[in-house]
Amino acid sequence: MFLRIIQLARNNLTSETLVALMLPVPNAKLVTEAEGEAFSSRFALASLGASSLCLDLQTGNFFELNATGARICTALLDGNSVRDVEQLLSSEFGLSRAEARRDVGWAVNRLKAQYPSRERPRLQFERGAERWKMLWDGTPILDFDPHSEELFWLRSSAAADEIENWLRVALPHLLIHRGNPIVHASSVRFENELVAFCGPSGSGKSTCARIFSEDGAVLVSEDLLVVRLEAAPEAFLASEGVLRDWAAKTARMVGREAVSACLGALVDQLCGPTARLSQMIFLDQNRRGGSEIVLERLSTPDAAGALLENGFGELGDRQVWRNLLRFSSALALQVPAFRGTAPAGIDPLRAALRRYRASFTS
Amino acid sequence: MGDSRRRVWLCWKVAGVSRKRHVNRHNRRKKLAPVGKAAADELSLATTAAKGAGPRAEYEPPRVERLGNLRELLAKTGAALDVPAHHPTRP
Repeated sequence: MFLRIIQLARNNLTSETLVALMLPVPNAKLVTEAEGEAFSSRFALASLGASSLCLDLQTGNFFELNATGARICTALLDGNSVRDVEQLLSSEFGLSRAEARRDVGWAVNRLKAQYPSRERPRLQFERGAERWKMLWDGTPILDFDPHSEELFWLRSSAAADEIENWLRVALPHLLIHRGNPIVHASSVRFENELVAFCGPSGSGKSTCARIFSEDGAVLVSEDLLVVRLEAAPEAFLASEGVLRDWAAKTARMVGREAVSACLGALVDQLCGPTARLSQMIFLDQNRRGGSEIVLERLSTPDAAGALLENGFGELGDRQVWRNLLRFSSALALQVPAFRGTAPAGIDPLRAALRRYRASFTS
Repeated sequence: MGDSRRRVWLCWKVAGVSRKRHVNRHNRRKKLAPVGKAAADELSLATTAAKGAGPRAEYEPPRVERLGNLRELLAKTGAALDVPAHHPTRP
C-alpha cells in the first residue's frame, strides 16, 4: 500500500495535456460498504490541463475539479478506498489526517450529492433487456437492437417522410453509442478551415451557416457534423449527405419487419475528404441583441460543458456518456470555442455576419 | 588499524576550528551577505534530500464545482430535435 501511495504521489496530473478518460479497473473495490456503488464505475474523469471534468454516470451531473479535486477523484477511480486517499493527501502535502479526512470527505460528498432535477426531456430512450426503445413524449417510436443493429418501427402507420425524420433523430444517438464522434452543428468551410455553429433548434446556427454560404463559403452541414479526433480534429465534409441518404433509404424499408441498420457500412461511407475544425461558436436563442457578432472565448471546461449540452446523450447509457465526455473534452482542448451573441432579425444578422466575415478572413 | 584511524579522526575533530571562531572582521561581510535565490533553493533541496524527504507540493483545497447535468441540459435544449419538418430554415 505504501508503495502504491508513493506511486500515486509521483503522478503529476496537472502536466497532462491529453485527455485521459479514467476507465474503471476490472477488480475495483467498493469505496466503503455503506456508499453502495463503486466510485470507479459511477464516475468518469477527463483531464483538461489545469482543471478536470468529472461526470457522474448515474445522475448526469458534471463538475469542474481543480488539481486537488482531480487527484482525489483519480485515486478513487483507481480503486483506492477513501481512507487510502486520505493517506495519500496526507503524505503528499503534509496534511494532518484530520485535514485530509475533511477535504476528501467534502469532495466525495459534493460529487455524490443528489441535485434536484427540474425537467424531463421529450425525447427519451428506454433500455430493455436486449433493445433500446426511442420515445417522444412517452410514445414509442422505434426499437433498436444494438447487437444485431436491427431497427423496428413501432407506430401503426406512417409516411416514409415521417419515418425518415425519426430515423434522422435516432441516427446520431446510434452512432455515438458505437463510439463515432458527432457534433450537433451547422458548419461552413472557408478554404480548408471549418467554422461550426453549435446550439439547439432555434438558436440560429443553420441561419448563420446559410448566410455565410450565400456569401461564398461552402455549406458543409446544417445539423450534424461527424468528426475525426486526430492530432487536429477534422470533420468529414460529406457526412451529412451520407446520413440523409441512409435515413431516406432505411425509411423505405422499415415497416412491420425488422430492418438492419448496417451502421458499420454507413460509417465506412462517411470516410472521405475532411477539413480542419478551426472554431466552434455556440449560439443561444436567448443571446440576441446589438448590431454586431460578439464572441466570448469559453474556458476549456465551459467549452466541454457546452459540447455535452449539444451532444446526443438522451440514450443515457453509461458508455454513451463516457464517449460524450471523451469527445467533448478532446474537442474543447483542441478547438477554440466561443459563446456568440448575434443581432436579432435576419437583415441585421446578415449585415453583422458580413462584417464579421471580413474581419475573420482578413 | 582501526584504532589509528579513530585516533586520526578524533585529532582532526579537536584540531578543526569552529565556524564561529573562523568569522573575523575581514570576512564578516561576506558571511552575512544574503544568499542568492538559486543558491538558497539548491541549499534547501539539498537539505531536504539529505533528510530523505522530497519537496512538498503546494496544497490547494479541493474545488468541486457543479457545471450542470446532462439530463437537465438535454431537457432544456432538446438537442437532436432538428427534425426537418420542425425546422424554421428548411425549405
